[in-house]
Amino acid sequence: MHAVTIDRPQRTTERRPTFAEAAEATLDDVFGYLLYLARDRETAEDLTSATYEKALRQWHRFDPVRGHPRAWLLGIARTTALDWFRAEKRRRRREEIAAVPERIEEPFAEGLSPALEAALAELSAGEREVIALRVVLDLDGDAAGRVLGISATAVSTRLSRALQRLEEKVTADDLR
Amino acid sequence: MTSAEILAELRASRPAAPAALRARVDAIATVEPRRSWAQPPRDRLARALAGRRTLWVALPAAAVLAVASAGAIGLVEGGSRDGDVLATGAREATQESAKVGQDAITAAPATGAAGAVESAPAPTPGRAQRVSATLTVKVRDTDALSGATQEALDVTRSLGGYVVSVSYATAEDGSASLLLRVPTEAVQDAITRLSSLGTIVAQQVQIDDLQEQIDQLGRRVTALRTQIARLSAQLADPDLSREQRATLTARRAAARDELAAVTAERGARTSEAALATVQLTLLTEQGAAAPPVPSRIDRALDEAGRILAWEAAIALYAIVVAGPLVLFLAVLWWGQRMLARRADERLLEAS
Repeated sequence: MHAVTIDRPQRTTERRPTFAEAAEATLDDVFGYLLYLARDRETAEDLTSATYEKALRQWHRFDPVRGHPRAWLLGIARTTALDWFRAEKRRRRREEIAAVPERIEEPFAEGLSPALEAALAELSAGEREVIALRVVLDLDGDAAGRVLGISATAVSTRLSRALQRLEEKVTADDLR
Repeated sequence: MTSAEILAELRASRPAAPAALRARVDAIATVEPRRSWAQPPRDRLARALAGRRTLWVALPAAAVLAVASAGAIGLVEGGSRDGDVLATGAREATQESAKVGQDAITAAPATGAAGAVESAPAPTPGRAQRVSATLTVKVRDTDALSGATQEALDVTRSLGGYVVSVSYATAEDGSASLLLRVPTEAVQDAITRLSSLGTIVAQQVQIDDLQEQIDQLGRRVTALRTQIARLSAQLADPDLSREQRATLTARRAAARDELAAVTAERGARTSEAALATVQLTLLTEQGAAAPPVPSRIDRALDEAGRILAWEAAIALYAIVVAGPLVLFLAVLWWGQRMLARRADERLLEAS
C-alpha cells in the first residue's frame, strides 16, 4: 500500500500582457476574421484598425483570468464589424434611391481557389464568421461561442450548416 | 472538392495582416497610456469587486454585517439591563432580609408588604367607587398556606364581607386563590390585614369612580318621575279624546319602564360601589420561586436574535416589495438583449 500525493490544481495566474504584446499576437487573427466578415481587404484593414483603437480605450477592462486576449479582441472586432454592417446597410439604402449600387468583386483571401472564393462569397456573413472562427482561426467551440454570444453547441450546429452550404456551393460551381 | 479538401484549403490560406496594417496597429498600440482609461490594470481587489463577482463579496459581507450589528446591539442592550436586574435583585434581597427576622409568616407584615400597602391608593370617602384589588402573598409552606387561607376567610367575615370563591391546592407548589368581597370603606384595612398573611409578592389596586354615573342615573330618575307625574295629571283630564288618552298612556308606560330600568341600574351601581373585590393568591415559597435571572450572555443572545429577526423581516419586506420590480427590469433587459442579438443575426445573414 502506498500513498499517492495529488497536487491540488492551482489557479494559474495569467500574466497580463501589455496592449502592444496582445496586439502583436492577435493581429492576424483579428484581420482574418474581419476579412471573412467584410469580404473586402480595405474594409477589413479599416475595421481592424478601428478595433484596436476601441480595444485600447477598453484595455483596462480586460481580465486575463477570464480568457485569452484573442477572444476578447475578436469580440470587439465583431461589435465593430456589426456597426460597420449597420452603417453599410443605411448607406446602401440611400444609394438605392439615387442609383443602382455597384459592387466590384475582388478576391479577399490569398491562396483560395476561385471556386472556394466564389462559394464563400455566396455565404452570409454569419456563416462566414463561424467558418473563420472555427476553421481558419481554429478557435475551440467555447471560445467561438464567447465571441458570437452563443453556446458551444449552437456554434457546432451553425458551423455544420455553414460547411454544408459551402460544400454545396463549391460542388455546384464545379459542375458548371 | 471534398469537405476535407475545403477545410484544408481554408486553413492553408489563413489571411495575414499586411505590413501597412501592422504598422498602423503598432502605432496605435505603442501610444503610451496618458488618460485614465489607459492606466495600468487596477489592483486585484478592485478587479475582484468588479462585475458579477461583487455579489460574491457583497452578500457575505452584508450577512456578516447584519450578524455583527445584531451581536453588538445585543451586547450593548443586554449590558444596559444589568442595572434593572441588579435593582430587582436588591428588591428580592430586601424582601429576603425582611423575612429572616420573622419566625412566623403571619406574625407581622413584612417590611416590603407594609410599604406596599401604605403606597396602595385608597378609595375616596364619600364617593361611590368600584375598587378591585389583586394581591399575591407568599407564605412559608403548605401548613402556613392552610393557616393563611383560613385567616383570610376570617378577616373577610370580620370586616363584614363574604367569600365568593376559594380554590386551595397543596400539591407540590401549594397555592390558594380566593375571591373576596369586602365593604369598600374597609378595603384598605382588608388589604393591610391580608398582606400581613405573608410576604407580599405583587399587589394591584384599581379604583373606578362610579359617582358620576350614579348621579346621572339619579337625575334621570327624578326627570322620569316628574314626567310620569305630569302624564298622570294630563290623563286625569276627562276631556281627552280616545287617541290622546291612548298616546299619553303609552308614553307613561314607557316612562315607567325606563324608570324601573334606571332605578335598577342605579341600585346595581351603588351595590357595586358598596363592596370591593379582592382577588387574593397565596403561594408557598416553592410556588413563588422567582424565575432564574438570565445571564448577560443569554440576554445578549436574546437581543441579538431579536435584532436578527427584525433584520430578516426588513430584508424579506424589501425582497417582496423590490422583487417584482427587479424581475420586471431583468426581463426587460433580457428581452432587449435578445432582440438586439436577433437583429445582429439577421443583419449578418443578410450581408
